[in-house]
Amino acid sequence: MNANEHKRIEWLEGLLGLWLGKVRVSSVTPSSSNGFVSFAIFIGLAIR
Amino acid sequence: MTRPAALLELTGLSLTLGGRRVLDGIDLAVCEGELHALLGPNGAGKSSLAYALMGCAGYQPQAGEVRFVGQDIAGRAIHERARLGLALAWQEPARFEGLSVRDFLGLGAGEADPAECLHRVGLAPEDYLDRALDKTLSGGERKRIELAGVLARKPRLAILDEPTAGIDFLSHEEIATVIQAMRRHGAVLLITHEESLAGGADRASQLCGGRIVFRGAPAEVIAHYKTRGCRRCDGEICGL
Repeated sequence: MNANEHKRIEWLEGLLGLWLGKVRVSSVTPSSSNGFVSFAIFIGLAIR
Repeated sequence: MTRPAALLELTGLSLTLGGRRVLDGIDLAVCEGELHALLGPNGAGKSSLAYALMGCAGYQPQAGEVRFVGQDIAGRAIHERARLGLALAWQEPARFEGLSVRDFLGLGAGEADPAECLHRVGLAPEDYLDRALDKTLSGGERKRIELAGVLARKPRLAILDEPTAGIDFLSHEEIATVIQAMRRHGAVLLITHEESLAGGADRASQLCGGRIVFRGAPAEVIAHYKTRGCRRCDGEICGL
């Protein structure tokens, strides 16, 4: 596995972790949706 | 010299929330490589504009057009806008509990080095890379990490909502340097109350009562804001 493939695998593992619920994205205040929006931005930028 | 093409172009953007017009016919263009500062008093509509640009729920404009990288993005979801290269760094960043700082900075960051990005926002990589991105970090630390994330993922346009809020004032110069560095990969729309940060922009706009009431060189806009800001115009400019 070359360095790029290794990086890609690590990235997919991270994404899987997010989807499996290993990661919880929290807004600063309960009424705020910035956790959800931050997650959407994070994923959107990451899979460009 | 030819002016570079607009990366972001807003035409007649209007937004009403709860019966109140918070954005009223906004026309604004941000070009590739530009740092554009957005000034205005609390409640002027600066953050609402950021949320509308990012496509946040409840902030869909009732009128006007938003074009980004030449595309009309009105119907696009948040992650689709992000895929086009649009990003928003919040006034109060969210927590990604379960991810380490290294994971957060490394995901989708391409060739960027998480340690280098942390170093540039003034955090020692050896102290932070293996920490969890949770409530053990202060708001100011999370803010710096979020900015490091913007540096790492290199969006085409980073919207920064008060990037120095919650950060000790001794570090503001460091943050200003980081913001300047972001322009190498795209453009920055900077919402700020900091005169020194706004002063480093290429252009600036003053928002008042949901309208852009003045635009130009940062020094001119700052002077206008100070002398004829919302509280001083008695409705002459903004009509409020």
